[in-house]
Amino acid sequence: MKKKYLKLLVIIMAAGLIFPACATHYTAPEREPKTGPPKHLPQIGGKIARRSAPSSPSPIVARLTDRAKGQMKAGNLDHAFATTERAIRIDSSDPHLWNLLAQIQLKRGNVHQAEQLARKSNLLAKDDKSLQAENWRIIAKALRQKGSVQEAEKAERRAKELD
Amino acid sequence: MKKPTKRLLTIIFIFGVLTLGYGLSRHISHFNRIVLEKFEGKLWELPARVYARPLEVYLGMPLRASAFEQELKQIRYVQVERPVELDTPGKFLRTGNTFHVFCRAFKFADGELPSKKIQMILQKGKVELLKDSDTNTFPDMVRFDPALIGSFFPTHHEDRVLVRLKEVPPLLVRTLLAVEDRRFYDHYGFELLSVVRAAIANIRKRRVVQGASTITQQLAKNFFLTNKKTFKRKIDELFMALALEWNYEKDEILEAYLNEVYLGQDGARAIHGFGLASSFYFGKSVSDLKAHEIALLVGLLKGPSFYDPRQHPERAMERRNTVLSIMQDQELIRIDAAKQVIRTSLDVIADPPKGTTRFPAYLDLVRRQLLQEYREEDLRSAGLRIFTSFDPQVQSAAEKAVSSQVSRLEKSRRLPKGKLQTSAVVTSTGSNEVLALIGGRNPSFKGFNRALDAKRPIGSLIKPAVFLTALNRPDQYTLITRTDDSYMKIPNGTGGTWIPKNYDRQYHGKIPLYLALVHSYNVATVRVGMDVGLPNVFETLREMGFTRDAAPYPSALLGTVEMSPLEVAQMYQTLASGGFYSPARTIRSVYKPDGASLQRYPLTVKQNLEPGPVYLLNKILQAVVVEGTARSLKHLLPEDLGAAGKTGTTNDLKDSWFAGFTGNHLGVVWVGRDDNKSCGLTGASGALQIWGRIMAGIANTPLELPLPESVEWAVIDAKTGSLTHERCENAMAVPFIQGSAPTETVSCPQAEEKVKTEVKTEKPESTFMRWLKEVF
Repeated sequence: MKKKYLKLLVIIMAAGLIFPACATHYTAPEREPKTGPPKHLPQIGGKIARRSAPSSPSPIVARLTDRAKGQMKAGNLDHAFATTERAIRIDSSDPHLWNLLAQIQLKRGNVHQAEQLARKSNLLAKDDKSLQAENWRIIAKALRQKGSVQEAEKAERRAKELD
Repeated sequence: MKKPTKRLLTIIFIFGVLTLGYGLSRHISHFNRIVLEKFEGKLWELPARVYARPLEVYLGMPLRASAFEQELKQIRYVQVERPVELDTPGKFLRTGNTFHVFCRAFKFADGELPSKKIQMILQKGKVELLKDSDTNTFPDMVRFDPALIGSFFPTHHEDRVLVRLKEVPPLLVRTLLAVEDRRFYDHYGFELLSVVRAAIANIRKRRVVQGASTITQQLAKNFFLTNKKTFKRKIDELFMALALEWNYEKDEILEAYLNEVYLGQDGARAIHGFGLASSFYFGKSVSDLKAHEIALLVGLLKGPSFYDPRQHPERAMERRNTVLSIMQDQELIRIDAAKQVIRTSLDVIADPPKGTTRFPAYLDLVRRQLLQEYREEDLRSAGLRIFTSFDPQVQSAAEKAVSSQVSRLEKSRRLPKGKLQTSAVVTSTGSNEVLALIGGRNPSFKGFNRALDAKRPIGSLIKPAVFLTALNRPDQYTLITRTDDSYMKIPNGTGGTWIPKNYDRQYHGKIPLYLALVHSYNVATVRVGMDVGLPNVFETLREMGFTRDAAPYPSALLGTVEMSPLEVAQMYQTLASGGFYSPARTIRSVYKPDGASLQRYPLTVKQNLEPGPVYLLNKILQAVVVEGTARSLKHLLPEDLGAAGKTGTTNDLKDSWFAGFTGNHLGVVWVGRDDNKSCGLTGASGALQIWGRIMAGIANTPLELPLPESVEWAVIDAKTGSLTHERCENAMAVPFIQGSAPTETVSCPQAEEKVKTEVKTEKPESTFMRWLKEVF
């Protein structure tokens, strides 16, 4: 009895060792930063400034964002928009804030602005794939409401690719 | 004979009485109508009040102690020396970098801000600590009441700060009644005895010597435009007072009186009402008035010019103390308090808030933007509260830069004194809100608003539009495409020919595209512009936000187009935002005096330009500052700010421009002469000097251009423009629209070396090692 199990164990282990070799040579995508220029080379306009601010939003911006989201949930869209604008004045490069504005405009039915604000968010959301996907979904919804069905479908596909 | 005469007399008598009665009732109803009209309609015209952005202070925010102190003073906070003096809202105490502020209450758009005591500590130019001294909590953000920057006055120069009876301190009401009208609540509008007494005195002197007595009569008197002292006027006032008492409650009459009564003069501006008078004489709101201040104001009623505390302080003091003793007699204040207070000084502030605004250029822009939405009457009469994005600190930095530079520049070019003029606009790049506006070299003087109305040729400021049009065709133009800066002759559009020349009168041959803009070479620009087509360049201008038409001649490529600084700011804003157009705004919201919202002006964006080419262009604009025509900025601003911009100079050095932006601010400055003669200044030697100093005076964030999806980096050989290896001598990193990077490669010895070593080190990692790596 024991021998049988031992054999099975050996076979499984052997498989475990062989299979990877049989697999097509596939290197898992390394988590490298997006293609930037080699740091030591000169550039037109000077070096890209390092991100001096931390990637996480300042606590003030975070608090204002929470407040705005709460106001949104309560249906108080005017205040939610004003609160988000206050946060943008502090940090206008935060893509989440522009995305929030887009959401609010979508809720209000201002589809043109919803689309544009979502595009602005995308410009700033370089490495954040999930946020980009969210933005593309907003753009798709807005385009659908405008009647641009083909464009809307393209946008939905972009969203799916990023998910 | 007697009987019929008697009857006739009786008839005449009855007829006379009826006529008199009829006349009286007509008179009464006439005044009744006037009173109803005045009260029910607009009793007085309320000007619209314009507020700056509320100062919001948060932990970690860059803020200089001097700037904060200045702003507090600007919103009429009084500096005290000892903590005990921090007894009413509107005062602050500063010890080094620590501030104790007793904040005023304010009714904001999104809620009421109660008055409270705040402690703030600044460290290394940032907000280090915030503490609510009342609750002993530590908020991370504090919002202050906004500065009042101006009002729109009605045509007869009256102004009001409406107060409700319940806001007024009871002591003020009691004092007022004690001094002016003790039986106010009991009489019917006039006191018969007083009227008779006054009538006798007036008849005796054959003219009117004694005036109105009751508060109701005084209110009636105020309704008349002129101050005639005739019998007829006295009768009219009497009837008016009766009509008031008939139609309204005592409290309503009292409230109207408190808001209507004349209390002083500020040049052409009349001070009416206790609300405005409290601000004008003491810099505080009526609810914060102390006993001796109340006594002064009530005392003024007898003769505001005669007892003017600033012109006649001794008379004012005497009158005030008289009122104080009445207050003491009537037991409105305690005897010991009265004794103490009589000895205090008048406490009138030396510098009353100005009626005419301190910031006429900005207010002018607010007014214009409002006029697009409302009728001028509504603006002047409804008492609207207008909240704007005006930033007193940015305005202050701009005014300082202007005052320090304009006369210096004028002297350096030996221009006649006072001839050199300037204007400037500063906006926030995130939301394109106008923060400050300079209309001329004397910013507080209301005159020609050059920032909005002086349309001048923009010269080289137009070149970015030309190059952006080119970069929009990545198959033809990249940052390093060779352009030709050599002799050219073209038809000028009106039948002749044009030979464009460079500023240095030289030709520079074949140069990479970006250098043509960095050094602002005219000839290369014209060549590129004619190649991409004038209509396309104008289309780019429109997409950037310039809405007017321009003459479609080739010379337009060198900026014969005329624009105001605000129009230029609008265009460059679209670049700073990565291609998203947002209209320049000053107004954030408008409210009716009762708090109902009238209009919201939300942030809107529109993607007008492809982000890829805009990114490339902005990189060139950064290079303008690093190595191009604006490189002297390094003496004024830190290089790691990454500021981007463009100098602009016109023919014969008539106009000097600079337009540029950092991470959060955008500024446009123009320098020149109103008479359009040469000012002898280039963009760099003139406008840039002012721009740099404005930016140096405000808190900037570095410009970090977001990399669009469509842009990729490549390593280029600077000499040939081909791809190369990063270890080569002339290698530089250049951004390209995807697919437009060159494909030819050029190698170098260092690159060969690298490849050899890579091959060597690769050998040991055999298939065995790779296999191991896979498994684990």
